[in-house]
Amino acid sequence: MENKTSPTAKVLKYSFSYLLAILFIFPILWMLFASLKPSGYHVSQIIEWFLPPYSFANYFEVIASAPVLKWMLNSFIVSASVTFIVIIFDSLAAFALSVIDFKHKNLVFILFTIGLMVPTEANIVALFDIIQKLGLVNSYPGLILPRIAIPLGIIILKEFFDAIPRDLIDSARIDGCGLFRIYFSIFMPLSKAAIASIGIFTFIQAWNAFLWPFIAIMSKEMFTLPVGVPTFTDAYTPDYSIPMTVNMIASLPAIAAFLLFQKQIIQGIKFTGIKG
Amino acid sequence: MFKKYLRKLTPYLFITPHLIFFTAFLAFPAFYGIYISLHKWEPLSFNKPFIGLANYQKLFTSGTLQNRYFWNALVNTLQFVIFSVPALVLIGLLLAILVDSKIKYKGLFRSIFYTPVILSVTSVTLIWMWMLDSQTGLINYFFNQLGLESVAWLSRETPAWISLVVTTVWWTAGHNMLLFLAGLQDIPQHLYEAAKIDGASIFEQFWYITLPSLKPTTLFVTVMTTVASFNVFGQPFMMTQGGPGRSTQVAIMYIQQEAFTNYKMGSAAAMAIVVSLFIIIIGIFQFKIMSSDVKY
Repeated sequence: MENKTSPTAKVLKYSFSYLLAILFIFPILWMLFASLKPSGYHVSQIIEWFLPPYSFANYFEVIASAPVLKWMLNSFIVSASVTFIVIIFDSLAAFALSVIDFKHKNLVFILFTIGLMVPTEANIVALFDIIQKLGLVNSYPGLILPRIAIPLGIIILKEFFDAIPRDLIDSARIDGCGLFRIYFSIFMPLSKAAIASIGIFTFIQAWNAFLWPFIAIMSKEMFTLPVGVPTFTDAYTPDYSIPMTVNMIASLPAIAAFLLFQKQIIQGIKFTGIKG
Repeated sequence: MFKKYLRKLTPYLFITPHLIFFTAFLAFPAFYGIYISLHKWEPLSFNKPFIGLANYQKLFTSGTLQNRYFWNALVNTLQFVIFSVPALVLIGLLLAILVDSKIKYKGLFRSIFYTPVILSVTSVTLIWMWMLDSQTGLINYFFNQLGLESVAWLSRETPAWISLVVTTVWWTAGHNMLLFLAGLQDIPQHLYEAAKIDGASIFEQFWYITLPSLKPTTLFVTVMTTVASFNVFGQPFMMTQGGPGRSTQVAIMYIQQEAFTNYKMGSAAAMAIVVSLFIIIIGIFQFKIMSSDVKY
């Protein structure tokens, strides 16, 4: 868009944008700087939070003393398993829905679509009873299995698979390829970008999940990071350094994933609209 | 013969792995929830007698605890939806327009606006509880610098609502920004060029081209944001614990409390179903209103 903007409008626009950017980044910077201050650090002026000295002492202390590493491991095992299984199961199902003709195909598709509209949060009571009957409370599968059930990836991938030219299937068929071969050697490689973004989203969502792990996990040992992090705050001591350090450690993997895969995430949102 | 049988089976080999989990952990719980809601379902007691619609009756008969607290929570949730959804949609649109306009470092701005979205609800609430702390918080520090009195942000009703909405906007507006950005980039440039030749001002272009073209995106964003806001849990759970009193207790919080603190699963399941119906009806309603004159 080529618009003649007056200098005043430009100045206004820029100052407004910078102001907004500061408002958005500031809380994260505060978390970062607070984590670099010694525990129990006393400030008389807010600005002192941002001035040296800096130290990583809190990070060592938190990692050495607290179950934070175990929680990180729990979060990682759950999120990685969910992501891995979702990519495989969802792409297989999407392939069936997009390429293969079979009975009740439309019914299955409609079921998945309706399933997307069931508010997960409203399912927690029944889900807890089921997980309990299966003896999966306080276990990794108890956290992993309900997440795999969400059919969002299938709906998105089906759309993507639908756009792949059918000639490719026909010629592969003539060459004697079976359905599984077509799935694995044609559809999966062609959909790398879509699969990558679904994978990243699935991972970040699983990493950040709070309500279900909060309900389904009973022992401190089995906490995931979002459930464990708040246990570091104490309403009666105004020490923020340690909680913010834990908070930084918990957020870093997601922030790193975002910075590394920014392109895929933004691309992914464009053709999916999925929630991060 | 066997081969033919196998070929018939193949599609199901592809779909079954996911379908099993979908059925067991999503479709079945939805129906099982209805079943639970028709029983006096208390995990500590051995008997779970069928009681028909009694759990629902309790919700709709005035005088019961469930009636009072459930509708309080539902009204609170609606209040949160009414305040947060317009803010999230409008600010999302505003950010998208900024990032889409000719501005230096667009990529950086986009990343900054999006970063909060990838934080977990506990990280976000921890940061904001500190920002809003009445003694050591940054917000009150700025208030004092401007000569204003400190505000007890999280322990008085109106400030508590403002805090919850501001925190939520900061956390998720970036997501709506990206959705709107995709919508903006789909608008054909020649529309703007034609408008400029006709001498349309920037505001006219925005009003007559940008906004109408964004209608499908806006519809999608609004419905998704509404559903998400209805499901709000972490922010009030962590920041206000539903207080002061029960003035910021939202629906999912009360359902969670009824099920896992009061151990009244049947009653909680009934509430969950009423809330789900609300969400579905409002979603359909929004869709009807806004799609009545959508042109693609």
